[in-house]
Amino acid sequence: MITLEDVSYSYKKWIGVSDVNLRIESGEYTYIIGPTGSGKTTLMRLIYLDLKPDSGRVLIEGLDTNKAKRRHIPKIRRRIGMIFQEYNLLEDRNLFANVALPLHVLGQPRKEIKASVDAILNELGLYSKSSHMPNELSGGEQQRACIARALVKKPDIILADEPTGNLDPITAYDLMELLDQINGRGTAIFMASHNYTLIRDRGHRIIQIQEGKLRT
Amino acid sequence: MDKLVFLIAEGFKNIWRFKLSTLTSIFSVFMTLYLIGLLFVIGDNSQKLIVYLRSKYKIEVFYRPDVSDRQAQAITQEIQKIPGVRSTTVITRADAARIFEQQFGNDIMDILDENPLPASAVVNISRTQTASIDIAPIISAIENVDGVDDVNFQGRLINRIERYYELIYQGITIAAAVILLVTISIISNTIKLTFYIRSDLVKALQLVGASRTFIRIPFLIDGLLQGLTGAILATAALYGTIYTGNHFIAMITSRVRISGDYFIGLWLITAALLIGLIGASRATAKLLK
Repeated sequence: MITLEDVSYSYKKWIGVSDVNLRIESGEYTYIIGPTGSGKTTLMRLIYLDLKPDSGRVLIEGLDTNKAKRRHIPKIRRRIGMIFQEYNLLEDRNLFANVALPLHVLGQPRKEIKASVDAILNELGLYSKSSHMPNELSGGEQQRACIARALVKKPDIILADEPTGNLDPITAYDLMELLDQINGRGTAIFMASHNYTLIRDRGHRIIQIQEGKLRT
Repeated sequence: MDKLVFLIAEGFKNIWRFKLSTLTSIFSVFMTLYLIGLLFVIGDNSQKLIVYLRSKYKIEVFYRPDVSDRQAQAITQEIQKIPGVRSTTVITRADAARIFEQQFGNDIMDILDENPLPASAVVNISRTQTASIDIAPIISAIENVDGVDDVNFQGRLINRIERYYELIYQGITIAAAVILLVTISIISNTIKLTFYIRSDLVKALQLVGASRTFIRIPFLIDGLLQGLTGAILATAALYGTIYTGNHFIAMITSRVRISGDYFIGLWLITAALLIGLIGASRATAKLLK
Protein backbone atom coordinates (compact mmCIF):
# COMPACT_ATOMS: atom_id res chain seq x y z
CA MET A 1 0.00 0.00 0.00
CA ILE A 2 2.71 2.50 1.03
CA THR A 3 6.32 1.89 0.11
CA LEU A 4 9.38 4.00 0.88
CA GLU A 5 12.50 3.12 -1.11
CA ASP A 6 15.87 4.55 -0.03
CA VAL A 7 14.15 7.75 1.06
CA SER A 8 16.27 10.60 2.40
CA TYR A 9 15.26 14.08 3.37
CA SER A 10 17.35 16.82 4.94
CA TYR A 11 16.33 20.12 6.43
CA LYS A 12 18.69 23.06 6.12
CA LYS A 13 20.59 22.33 9.30
CA TRP A 14 19.88 18.72 10.14
CA ILE A 15 18.98 15.38 8.63
CA GLY A 16 15.29 14.46 8.65
CA VAL A 17 15.48 10.84 7.49
CA SER A 18 18.24 8.91 5.75
CA ASP A 19 17.97 5.88 3.42
CA VAL A 20 14.62 4.75 4.78
CA ASN A 21 13.13 1.56 3.35
CA LEU A 22 9.67 0.72 4.62
CA ARG A 23 6.54 -1.04 3.44
CA ILE A 24 3.10 -0.71 5.01
CA GLU A 25 0.49 -3.19 3.84
CA SER A 26 -3.25 -2.61 3.61
CA GLY A 27 -4.94 -2.95 6.98
CA GLU A 28 -1.62 -3.20 8.80
CA TYR A 29 -1.01 -1.54 12.18
CA THR A 30 2.53 -0.20 12.46
CA TYR A 31 4.14 1.77 15.25
CA ILE A 32 7.19 3.88 14.65
CA ILE A 33 9.02 4.68 17.84
CA GLY A 34 11.93 6.96 18.55
CA PRO A 35 12.99 9.96 20.59
CA THR A 36 11.96 13.50 19.79
CA GLY A 37 13.73 14.74 16.64
CA SER A 38 14.50 11.22 15.41
CA GLY A 39 12.57 11.69 12.13
CA LYS A 40 9.08 10.28 12.92
CA THR A 41 7.21 13.40 11.87
CA THR A 42 9.39 13.82 8.77
CA LEU A 43 8.42 10.30 7.75
CA MET A 44 4.73 11.12 8.22
CA ARG A 45 5.08 14.34 6.23
CA LEU A 46 6.76 12.45 3.40
CA ILE A 47 3.84 9.99 3.33
CA TYR A 48 1.13 12.66 3.23
CA LEU A 49 3.07 14.61 0.63
CA ASP A 50 3.84 17.60 2.76
CA LEU A 51 7.50 17.01 1.84
CA LYS A 52 9.15 15.55 -1.23
CA PRO A 53 12.17 13.31 -0.70
CA ASP A 54 15.62 14.60 -1.66
CA SER A 55 16.37 11.11 -2.93
CA GLY A 56 14.57 7.79 -3.14
CA ARG A 57 10.86 7.50 -3.71
CA VAL A 58 7.58 7.18 -1.84
CA LEU A 59 4.95 5.02 -3.52
CA ILE A 60 1.31 5.24 -2.48
CA GLU A 61 -0.80 2.54 -4.10
CA GLY A 62 1.91 2.34 -6.77
CA LEU A 63 1.92 6.09 -7.46
CA ASP A 64 5.38 7.61 -7.19
CA THR A 65 4.88 10.83 -5.23
CA ASN A 66 7.93 12.36 -6.93
CA LYS A 67 6.03 12.20 -10.18
CA ALA A 68 2.70 13.27 -8.69
CA LYS A 69 1.47 16.56 -10.09
CA ARG A 70 0.17 19.24 -7.77
CA ARG A 71 -3.42 18.37 -8.62
CA HIS A 72 -2.83 14.75 -7.55
CA ILE A 73 -1.85 15.68 -4.00
CA PRO A 74 -5.40 16.47 -2.72
CA LYS A 75 -6.69 13.22 -4.21
CA ILE A 76 -4.01 11.19 -2.42
CA ARG A 77 -4.62 13.04 0.83
CA ARG A 78 -8.33 12.25 0.69
CA ARG A 79 -7.37 8.59 1.22
CA ILE A 80 -5.27 9.41 4.27
CA GLY A 81 -6.60 10.38 7.70
CA MET A 82 -4.32 12.52 9.86
CA ILE A 83 -4.20 12.73 13.64
CA PHE A 84 -1.76 15.03 15.43
CA GLN A 85 -0.54 15.53 18.98
CA GLU A 86 -1.83 19.11 18.71
CA TYR A 87 -5.45 18.44 17.92
CA ASN A 88 -5.64 21.00 15.12
CA LEU A 89 -9.37 21.48 15.53
CA LEU A 90 -10.72 24.74 14.17
CA GLU A 91 -11.60 26.95 17.11
CA ASP A 92 -14.17 28.98 15.19
CA ARG A 93 -16.66 26.15 14.65
CA ASN A 94 -18.30 23.47 16.72
CA LEU A 95 -17.44 19.79 16.87
CA PHE A 96 -19.96 18.82 14.21
CA ALA A 97 -18.60 21.39 11.73
CA ASN A 98 -15.01 20.31 12.45
CA VAL A 99 -15.76 16.67 11.73
CA ALA A 100 -17.86 17.57 8.67
CA LEU A 101 -15.02 19.50 7.04
CA PRO A 102 -13.51 16.61 5.00
CA LEU A 103 -16.95 15.71 3.66
CA HIS A 104 -17.54 19.27 2.46
CA VAL A 105 -14.21 18.97 0.64
CA LEU A 106 -15.43 15.75 -0.97
CA GLY A 107 -18.56 17.60 -2.05
CA GLN A 108 -21.04 15.34 -0.31
CA PRO A 109 -24.66 16.51 -0.02
CA ARG A 110 -25.69 18.10 3.26
CA LYS A 111 -27.99 15.22 4.24
CA GLU A 112 -25.27 12.62 3.75
CA ILE A 113 -22.80 14.75 5.68
CA LYS A 114 -25.21 14.95 8.63
CA ALA A 115 -25.80 11.22 8.60
CA SER A 116 -22.09 10.34 8.37
CA VAL A 117 -20.98 12.83 11.02
CA ASP A 118 -23.75 11.84 13.44
CA ALA A 119 -22.82 8.19 12.97
CA ILE A 120 -19.11 8.68 13.62
CA LEU A 121 -19.70 10.98 16.60
CA ASN A 122 -22.11 8.43 18.04
CA GLU A 123 -19.59 5.67 17.55
CA LEU A 124 -16.85 7.64 19.31
CA GLY A 125 -19.16 8.70 22.14
CA LEU A 126 -19.18 12.36 21.15
CA TYR A 127 -22.69 12.74 19.77
CA SER A 128 -23.95 14.68 22.79
CA LYS A 129 -21.10 17.18 22.31
CA SER A 130 -21.86 17.89 18.62
CA SER A 131 -22.65 21.52 19.20
CA HIS A 132 -19.76 22.12 21.62
CA MET A 133 -16.89 24.33 20.59
CA PRO A 134 -13.40 22.74 20.75
CA ASN A 135 -12.43 24.74 23.85
CA GLU A 136 -15.42 23.22 25.65
CA LEU A 137 -14.04 19.69 25.18
CA SER A 138 -11.49 17.83 27.29
CA GLY A 139 -8.14 16.76 25.80
CA GLY A 140 -9.35 13.20 25.28
CA GLU A 141 -12.55 14.40 23.64
CA GLN A 142 -10.61 16.72 21.36
CA GLN A 143 -8.35 13.87 20.30
CA ARG A 144 -11.36 11.65 19.66
CA ALA A 145 -12.84 14.48 17.62
CA CYS A 146 -9.65 14.46 15.54
CA ILE A 147 -10.02 10.73 15.04
CA ALA A 148 -13.65 11.28 14.03
CA ARG A 149 -12.52 13.90 11.51
CA ALA A 150 -9.90 11.50 10.15
CA LEU A 151 -12.30 8.56 10.01
CA VAL A 152 -15.40 10.24 8.62
CA LYS A 153 -14.10 10.16 5.06
CA LYS A 154 -13.34 6.42 5.37
CA PRO A 155 -9.60 6.61 4.66
CA ASP A 156 -7.41 3.67 3.66
CA ILE A 157 -4.84 4.59 6.28
CA ILE A 158 -4.60 6.75 9.36
CA LEU A 159 -1.33 8.53 10.11
CA ALA A 160 -1.22 9.31 13.81
CA ASP A 161 1.66 11.53 14.92
CA GLU A 162 2.08 11.22 18.70
CA PRO A 163 -1.70 11.17 19.25
CA THR A 164 -1.35 10.43 22.97
CA GLY A 165 1.31 13.06 23.60
CA ASN A 166 -1.02 15.49 25.36
CA LEU A 167 -3.24 12.92 27.11
CA ASP A 168 -3.17 11.49 30.62
CA PRO A 169 -2.31 7.76 30.87
CA ILE A 170 -5.92 6.54 31.23
CA THR A 171 -7.20 8.62 28.30
CA ALA A 172 -4.15 7.56 26.29
CA TYR A 173 -4.95 3.90 26.98
CA ASP A 174 -8.59 4.44 25.88
CA LEU A 175 -7.38 6.06 22.70
CA MET A 176 -5.09 3.11 21.95
CA GLU A 177 -8.07 0.79 22.40
CA LEU A 178 -10.10 2.91 20.01
CA LEU A 179 -7.34 2.81 17.39
CA ASP A 180 -7.21 -0.98 17.78
CA GLN A 181 -10.94 -1.16 17.08
CA ILE A 182 -10.58 1.04 14.01
CA ASN A 183 -7.74 -1.15 12.74
CA GLY A 184 -9.87 -4.20 13.40
CA ARG A 185 -12.31 -2.91 10.77
CA GLY A 186 -9.56 -2.91 8.13
CA THR A 187 -8.13 0.61 8.25
CA ALA A 188 -4.34 0.64 8.23
CA ILE A 189 -2.71 2.70 10.98
CA PHE A 190 0.77 4.13 11.05
CA MET A 191 1.38 5.67 14.44
CA ALA A 192 4.40 7.56 15.71
CA SER A 193 5.15 7.55 19.42
CA HIS A 194 8.03 8.00 21.81
CA ASN A 195 6.19 6.11 24.57
CA TYR A 196 7.37 2.51 24.27
CA THR A 197 5.47 1.38 27.36
CA LEU A 198 2.20 2.36 25.75
CA ILE A 199 2.67 0.28 22.61
CA ARG A 200 4.92 -2.66 23.46
CA ASP A 201 2.22 -5.11 24.52
CA ARG A 202 -0.33 -4.37 21.82
CA GLY A 203 0.94 -7.01 19.45
CA HIS A 204 1.54 -4.83 16.42
CA ARG A 205 4.61 -4.28 14.31
CA ILE A 206 7.09 -1.85 15.88
CA ILE A 207 9.77 0.01 13.91
CA GLN A 208 12.46 2.01 15.61
CA ILE A 209 13.91 5.23 14.23
CA GLN A 210 16.96 7.04 15.51
CA GLU A 211 18.75 10.01 13.95
CA GLY A 212 16.71 9.55 10.79
CA LYS A 213 17.60 5.89 10.25
CA LEU A 214 15.30 2.90 10.75
CA ARG A 215 16.38 0.08 13.06
CA THR A 216 14.56 -3.20 13.10
CA MET B 1 -24.55 22.72 -4.92
CA ASP B 2 -24.02 22.04 -1.21
CA LYS B 3 -20.29 22.44 -1.79
CA LEU B 4 -20.86 25.88 -3.32
CA VAL B 5 -23.11 26.90 -0.43
CA PHE B 6 -20.37 25.81 1.98
CA LEU B 7 -17.72 27.84 0.14
CA ILE B 8 -19.89 30.97 -0.07
CA ALA B 9 -20.72 30.62 3.63
CA GLU B 10 -16.99 30.38 4.41
CA GLY B 11 -16.39 33.56 2.38
CA PHE B 12 -19.03 35.44 4.39
CA LYS B 13 -17.68 34.00 7.64
CA ASN B 14 -14.21 35.33 6.75
CA ILE B 15 -15.68 38.81 6.41
CA TRP B 16 -17.64 38.56 9.63
CA ARG B 17 -14.73 37.12 11.66
CA PHE B 18 -12.30 39.78 10.51
CA LYS B 19 -14.63 42.74 10.58
CA LEU B 20 -12.01 45.34 11.36
CA SER B 21 -9.51 44.48 8.63
CA THR B 22 -12.38 43.99 6.18
CA LEU B 23 -13.89 47.36 7.08
CA THR B 24 -10.49 49.02 6.63
CA SER B 25 -10.14 47.40 3.24
CA ILE B 26 -13.70 48.34 2.20
CA PHE B 27 -13.05 51.93 3.28
CA SER B 28 -9.83 52.01 1.23
CA VAL B 29 -11.62 50.56 -1.78
CA PHE B 30 -14.43 53.06 -1.29
CA MET B 31 -12.00 56.01 -1.16
CA THR B 32 -9.97 54.90 -4.15
CA LEU B 33 -13.00 54.08 -6.28
CA TYR B 34 -14.60 57.38 -5.27
CA LEU B 35 -11.44 59.15 -6.49
CA ILE B 36 -11.47 57.14 -9.72
CA GLY B 37 -15.17 58.03 -10.14
CA LEU B 38 -14.41 61.72 -9.58
CA LEU B 39 -11.61 61.55 -12.14
CA PHE B 40 -14.03 59.88 -14.52
CA VAL B 41 -16.60 62.66 -13.99
CA ILE B 42 -13.91 65.33 -14.44
CA GLY B 43 -12.68 63.59 -17.60
CA ASP B 44 -16.22 63.19 -18.96
CA ASN B 45 -17.11 66.83 -18.32
CA SER B 46 -13.76 68.00 -19.73
CA GLN B 47 -14.48 66.00 -22.87
CA LYS B 48 -17.90 67.63 -23.20
CA LEU B 49 -16.35 71.07 -22.63
CA ILE B 50 -13.72 70.33 -25.26
CA VAL B 51 -16.38 69.25 -27.75
CA TYR B 52 -18.22 72.50 -27.07
CA LEU B 53 -15.07 74.60 -27.44
CA ARG B 54 -14.07 72.77 -30.60
CA SER B 55 -17.47 73.59 -32.07
CA LYS B 56 -16.40 77.21 -31.74
CA TYR B 57 -13.13 76.69 -33.61
CA LYS B 58 -13.47 78.59 -36.87
CA ILE B 59 -11.05 78.63 -39.77
CA GLU B 60 -11.78 81.31 -42.32
CA VAL B 61 -10.32 80.66 -45.76
CA PHE B 62 -10.18 83.56 -48.20
CA TYR B 63 -9.83 82.80 -51.87
CA ARG B 64 -7.93 84.85 -54.40
CA PRO B 65 -9.95 87.81 -55.81
CA ASP B 66 -10.02 86.20 -59.27
CA VAL B 67 -11.75 83.04 -57.98
CA SER B 68 -15.34 82.88 -59.19
CA ASP B 69 -18.21 81.56 -57.06
CA ARG B 70 -18.24 78.27 -59.03
CA GLN B 71 -14.50 77.87 -58.56
CA ALA B 72 -14.99 78.64 -54.86
CA GLN B 73 -17.44 75.73 -54.60
CA ALA B 74 -14.89 73.38 -56.21
CA ILE B 75 -12.02 74.59 -53.99
CA THR B 76 -14.16 74.20 -50.90
CA GLN B 77 -14.93 70.61 -51.85
CA GLU B 78 -11.16 70.01 -52.05
CA ILE B 79 -10.77 71.46 -48.55
CA GLN B 80 -13.59 69.23 -47.29
CA LYS B 81 -11.45 66.18 -48.19
CA ILE B 82 -8.59 67.19 -45.88
CA PRO B 83 -8.35 64.82 -42.85
CA GLY B 84 -9.64 66.49 -39.66
CA VAL B 85 -12.11 68.72 -41.53
CA ARG B 86 -15.69 68.11 -40.42
CA SER B 87 -17.68 70.58 -42.50
CA THR B 88 -17.29 73.58 -44.77
CA THR B 89 -19.54 76.47 -45.72
CA VAL B 90 -18.92 78.46 -48.86
CA ILE B 91 -19.38 82.21 -48.69
CA THR B 92 -19.76 83.54 -52.21
CA ARG B 93 -18.80 87.10 -53.11
CA ALA B 94 -22.51 88.04 -53.04
CA ASP B 95 -22.85 86.42 -49.59
CA ALA B 96 -19.84 88.42 -48.42
CA ALA B 97 -21.46 91.65 -49.65
CA ARG B 98 -24.65 90.74 -47.77
CA ILE B 99 -22.72 90.07 -44.58
CA PHE B 100 -20.94 93.39 -45.02
CA GLU B 101 -24.27 95.17 -45.33
CA GLN B 102 -25.64 93.39 -42.27
CA GLN B 103 -22.62 94.35 -40.21
CA PHE B 104 -21.97 97.92 -41.43
CA GLY B 105 -25.41 98.96 -42.67
CA ASN B 106 -24.21 100.05 -46.13
CA ASP B 107 -24.25 98.28 -49.46
CA ILE B 108 -20.66 98.01 -50.61
CA MET B 109 -21.77 98.42 -54.24
CA ASP B 110 -23.09 101.87 -53.35
CA ILE B 111 -19.77 102.83 -51.84
CA LEU B 112 -17.31 101.36 -54.37
CA ASP B 113 -19.46 100.58 -57.44
CA GLU B 114 -18.02 97.09 -57.43
CA ASN B 115 -17.73 94.16 -55.01
CA PRO B 116 -14.08 93.80 -53.92
CA LEU B 117 -14.86 91.12 -51.36
CA PRO B 118 -13.40 87.71 -52.27
CA ALA B 119 -15.23 84.43 -52.02
CA SER B 120 -14.33 82.54 -48.88
CA ALA B 121 -15.22 79.47 -46.80
CA VAL B 122 -15.70 78.70 -43.14
CA VAL B 123 -14.09 75.41 -42.15
CA ASN B 124 -15.11 73.45 -39.03
CA ILE B 125 -12.88 70.70 -37.74
CA SER B 126 -13.72 67.31 -36.16
CA ARG B 127 -14.54 67.83 -32.52
CA THR B 128 -15.41 64.52 -30.90
CA GLN B 129 -12.05 62.73 -31.06
CA THR B 130 -10.42 61.97 -27.69
CA ALA B 131 -6.87 62.87 -28.73
CA SER B 132 -5.90 66.48 -29.01
CA ILE B 133 -6.27 68.07 -32.39
CA ASP B 134 -3.14 69.30 -34.15
CA ILE B 135 -4.37 72.26 -36.15
CA ALA B 136 -1.09 73.02 -37.97
CA PRO B 137 -1.23 70.24 -40.61
CA ILE B 138 -4.85 71.13 -41.43
CA ILE B 139 -3.95 74.81 -41.91
CA SER B 140 -0.92 73.87 -43.97
CA ALA B 141 -3.03 71.56 -46.18
CA ILE B 142 -5.64 74.30 -46.70
CA GLU B 143 -2.94 76.84 -47.57
CA ASN B 144 -1.59 74.49 -50.23
CA VAL B 145 -4.94 74.22 -52.02
CA ASP B 146 -4.82 76.14 -55.28
CA GLY B 147 -6.91 79.33 -55.18
CA VAL B 148 -6.48 79.93 -51.43
CA ASP B 149 -5.18 83.38 -50.68
CA ASP B 150 -5.28 83.65 -46.89
CA VAL B 151 -6.23 81.53 -43.89
CA ASN B 152 -7.41 83.05 -40.58
CA PHE B 153 -7.75 80.93 -37.47
CA GLN B 154 -7.52 81.23 -33.68
CA GLY B 155 -4.19 79.42 -33.62
CA ARG B 156 -2.98 80.29 -30.12
CA LEU B 157 -6.36 79.73 -28.48
CA ILE B 158 -6.89 76.37 -30.18
CA ASN B 159 -3.36 75.20 -29.35
CA ARG B 160 -3.76 76.22 -25.73
CA ILE B 161 -7.11 74.45 -25.31
CA GLU B 162 -5.79 71.30 -26.99
CA ARG B 163 -2.62 71.34 -24.87
CA TYR B 164 -4.61 71.63 -21.64
CA TYR B 165 -6.94 68.89 -22.78
CA GLU B 166 -3.98 66.62 -23.52
CA LEU B 167 -2.53 67.32 -20.07
CA ILE B 168 -5.84 66.67 -18.30
CA TYR B 169 -6.41 63.49 -20.30
CA GLN B 170 -2.93 62.09 -19.59
CA GLY B 171 -3.07 63.17 -15.94
CA ILE B 172 -6.42 61.44 -15.39
CA THR B 173 -5.23 58.26 -17.10
CA ILE B 174 -2.03 58.06 -15.02
CA ALA B 175 -3.82 58.92 -11.76
CA ALA B 176 -6.54 56.31 -12.42
CA ALA B 177 -3.92 53.65 -13.21
CA VAL B 178 -1.96 54.41 -10.02
CA ILE B 179 -5.13 54.40 -7.90
CA LEU B 180 -6.22 51.09 -9.45
CA LEU B 181 -2.87 49.49 -8.62
CA VAL B 182 -3.05 50.83 -5.07
CA THR B 183 -6.56 49.39 -4.68
CA ILE B 184 -5.49 45.98 -5.96
CA SER B 185 -2.57 46.07 -3.53
CA ILE B 186 -4.85 46.99 -0.60
CA ILE B 187 -7.29 44.15 -1.30
CA SER B 188 -4.43 41.74 -1.92
CA ASN B 189 -2.81 42.61 1.41
CA THR B 190 -6.08 42.37 3.32
CA ILE B 191 -6.70 38.92 1.85
CA LYS B 192 -3.11 37.94 2.68
CA LEU B 193 -3.70 39.06 6.26
CA THR B 194 -6.94 37.06 6.43
CA PHE B 195 -5.11 34.13 4.89
CA TYR B 196 -2.39 34.27 7.53
CA ILE B 197 -4.95 34.55 10.32
CA ARG B 198 -6.90 31.67 8.78
CA SER B 199 -3.78 29.53 8.36
CA ASP B 200 -5.36 26.93 10.68
CA LEU B 201 -8.28 26.51 8.28
CA VAL B 202 -6.00 26.48 5.24
CA LYS B 203 -3.77 23.83 6.86
CA ALA B 204 -6.77 21.74 7.91
CA LEU B 205 -8.26 21.93 4.42
CA GLN B 206 -4.95 20.94 2.83
CA LEU B 207 -4.64 17.96 5.16
CA VAL B 208 -8.10 16.64 4.42
CA GLY B 209 -7.39 16.83 0.69
CA ALA B 210 -8.94 20.10 -0.42
CA SER B 211 -7.82 21.28 -3.84
CA ARG B 212 -6.16 24.68 -4.29
CA THR B 213 -9.32 26.01 -5.92
CA PHE B 214 -11.46 24.84 -3.00
CA ILE B 215 -9.17 26.61 -0.53
CA ARG B 216 -9.02 29.79 -2.61
CA ILE B 217 -12.73 30.23 -3.32
CA PRO B 218 -13.77 31.60 0.12
CA PHE B 219 -10.94 34.15 -0.07
CA LEU B 220 -11.91 35.12 -3.62
CA ILE B 221 -15.50 35.60 -2.45
CA ASP B 222 -14.12 37.71 0.37
CA GLY B 223 -12.21 39.89 -2.13
CA LEU B 224 -15.20 40.20 -4.44
CA LEU B 225 -17.49 41.25 -1.61
CA GLN B 226 -14.98 43.82 -0.34
CA GLY B 227 -14.71 45.28 -3.85
CA LEU B 228 -18.47 45.24 -4.40
CA THR B 229 -19.29 46.92 -1.08
CA GLY B 230 -16.63 49.58 -1.65
CA ALA B 231 -17.97 50.22 -5.18
CA ILE B 232 -21.60 50.56 -4.06
CA LEU B 233 -20.58 53.06 -1.38
CA ALA B 234 -18.34 54.95 -3.84
CA THR B 235 -21.14 55.11 -6.42
CA ALA B 236 -23.59 56.48 -3.87
CA ALA B 237 -21.04 59.05 -2.68
CA LEU B 238 -20.23 60.05 -6.25
CA TYR B 239 -23.85 60.64 -7.24
CA GLY B 240 -24.27 62.52 -3.97
CA THR B 241 -21.29 64.73 -4.85
CA ILE B 242 -22.64 65.43 -8.37
CA TYR B 243 -26.08 66.22 -6.97
CA THR B 244 -24.67 68.55 -4.30
CA GLY B 245 -22.28 70.16 -6.79
CA ASN B 246 -25.14 70.89 -9.21
CA HIS B 247 -27.24 72.24 -6.36
CA PHE B 248 -24.56 74.83 -5.53
CA ILE B 249 -23.85 75.62 -9.19
CA ALA B 250 -27.57 76.17 -9.77
CA MET B 251 -27.46 78.93 -7.15
CA ILE B 252 -24.89 80.78 -9.30
CA THR B 253 -25.87 79.96 -12.88
CA SER B 254 -28.34 77.80 -14.75
CA ARG B 255 -26.11 77.49 -17.85
CA VAL B 256 -23.54 75.11 -16.38
CA ARG B 257 -24.22 71.65 -15.00
CA ILE B 258 -21.99 68.77 -13.98
CA SER B 259 -23.10 65.78 -15.96
CA GLY B 260 -22.81 62.34 -14.39
CA ASP B 261 -22.86 59.39 -16.74
CA TYR B 262 -25.63 56.99 -15.79
CA PHE B 263 -23.18 54.10 -16.24
CA ILE B 264 -20.50 55.37 -13.82
CA GLY B 265 -21.89 53.14 -11.08
CA LEU B 266 -21.91 50.15 -13.37
CA TRP B 267 -18.33 50.85 -14.43
CA LEU B 268 -17.19 51.26 -10.85
CA ILE B 269 -18.87 48.03 -9.73
CA THR B 270 -17.40 46.10 -12.67
CA ALA B 271 -13.98 47.59 -11.94
CA ALA B 272 -14.33 46.77 -8.25
CA LEU B 273 -15.28 43.15 -8.93
CA LEU B 274 -12.26 42.80 -11.21
CA ILE B 275 -10.01 44.55 -8.69
CA GLY B 276 -11.29 42.33 -5.88
CA LEU B 277 -10.82 39.21 -7.94
CA ILE B 278 -7.32 40.17 -9.10
CA GLY B 279 -6.28 41.23 -5.58
CA ALA B 280 -7.55 38.05 -3.96
CA SER B 281 -6.14 35.84 -6.73
CA ARG B 282 -2.71 37.41 -6.37
CA ALA B 283 -2.72 36.96 -2.60
CA THR B 284 -3.92 33.37 -2.54
CA ALA B 285 -1.76 32.28 -5.48
CA LYS B 286 1.33 33.56 -3.70
CA LEU B 287 0.44 32.03 -0.34
CA LEU B 288 -0.55 28.64 -1.70
CA LYS B 289 2.66 28.19 -3.71
